[in-house]
Amino acid sequence: MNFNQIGLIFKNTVTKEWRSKTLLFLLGVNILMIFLAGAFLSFFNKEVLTDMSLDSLAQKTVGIFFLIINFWSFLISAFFGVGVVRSDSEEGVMAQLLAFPLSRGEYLTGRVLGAWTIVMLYYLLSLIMAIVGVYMAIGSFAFSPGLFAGVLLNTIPNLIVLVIGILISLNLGKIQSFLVVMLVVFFVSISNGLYQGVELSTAFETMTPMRSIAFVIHWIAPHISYWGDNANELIMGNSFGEGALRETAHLLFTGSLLGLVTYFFLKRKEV
Amino acid sequence: MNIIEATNISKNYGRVAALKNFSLSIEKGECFALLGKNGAGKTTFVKSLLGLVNFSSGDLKLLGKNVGDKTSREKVSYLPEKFSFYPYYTLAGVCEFYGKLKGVPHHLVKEQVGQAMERLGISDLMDKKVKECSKGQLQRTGLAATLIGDTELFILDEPYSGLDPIGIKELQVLLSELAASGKTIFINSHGLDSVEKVCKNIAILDKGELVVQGEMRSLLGEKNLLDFFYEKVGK
Repeated sequence: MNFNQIGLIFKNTVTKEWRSKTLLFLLGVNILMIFLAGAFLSFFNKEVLTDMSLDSLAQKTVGIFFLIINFWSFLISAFFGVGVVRSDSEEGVMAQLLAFPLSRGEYLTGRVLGAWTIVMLYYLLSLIMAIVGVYMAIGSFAFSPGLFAGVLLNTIPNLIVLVIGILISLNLGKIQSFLVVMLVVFFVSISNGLYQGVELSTAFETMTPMRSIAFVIHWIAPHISYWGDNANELIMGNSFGEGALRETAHLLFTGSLLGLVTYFFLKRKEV
Repeated sequence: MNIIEATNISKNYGRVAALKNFSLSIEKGECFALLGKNGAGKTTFVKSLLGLVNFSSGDLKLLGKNVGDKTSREKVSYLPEKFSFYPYYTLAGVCEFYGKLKGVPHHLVKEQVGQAMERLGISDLMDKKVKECSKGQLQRTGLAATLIGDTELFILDEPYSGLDPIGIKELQVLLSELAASGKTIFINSHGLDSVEKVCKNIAILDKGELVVQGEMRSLLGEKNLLDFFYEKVGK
């Protein structure tokens, strides 16, 4: 791996993707939401609340903002995932880039890290805007390590969705890929919901053909729901769920598998 | 050492054979043109050389290295058939990015970009954005980008495409200078007039098969390249 080449592709990805009109639109919606919620909160604080502490109110409000932002987080990741490599292929840039002494692994790594960084920046910017918005509304500074950790943790399911988006977009157009990613994320989440924390013996007792498919998906795909749900728990000031060590090992294994499959398909792709 | 060494390369797209047991060798310092009708397999061969498509069988070496090895492309500059880049980049920005990808030290890139753009007559367009450029200006930018860095082999796919007559003449001069300085040039082109003026060796490809290869003057005799080409693959 040549880290200079990865760095160049990474910078190029950030330069390319930050201009995304969808991202700017979502940031605009965030600002609007925070502004409206801040105005509502300010009124609520002055006219209705008398006995709740301001710090607690601010914390809960920022948390609720983030639950809403997280709700569409995977949409943003899927959007970047299906576009970041596909657009290179469609515009003929991929052939030009890969004609340099740049391996497909370096290219893929740079593109994934660049797109992931954009998603993370979007989150951090949303966090800052939410905190400032709440501060302006009620005069209390709402920030906790848990909130920050939750926001960072939510970038894990985002990374997974992003890579799934790249993998699918290697063979399908952007719109089809986006729809397929939505379906894949939906099925993975359903599977996670069915089998998260369920003992193997219990799982086999209730096995049906459909459930067996869900069971396989649950074991071979990263547990998007587990990481997303725990990120939300941290954001809301609650503690992290059980099985973190086991889930981290599972994430490392299934995440690497997903990365390798994506690399395999990119390596086979003719440009 | 042969700069390009292709032995029995075959490539199929489904049932269609794009290349059939195609063999070719090009020595260092040659100015070579690969000719053929549309769909003859020229671009497939160029893309195979650069590891962009996977050939079905055979052996293909670039600068002595297997084409699957990315280091085989360290001293290769490639101009694609249709040069394009992200619309918001400036022309100098495109060249700088490509120079860095080529491995040119960062402190030398700007200077080399300036020289290359000057050489292609587009130094006044450095700050112009890709989206504001004509096809000819983009083609000159693509050619300028190939001049950046330490290049031993230039692979140019339709280099005259989009250029006006002045641009074509200037490119002929540039390629002659590069050839005279010992660089190897591989041209894939339909511009037979220009090829005739610049290249010494040619090969003609038809339906994925090599029809003829050799020193151009001895192949042509009294004919011009167009007549020779038509005679070989025109029917």
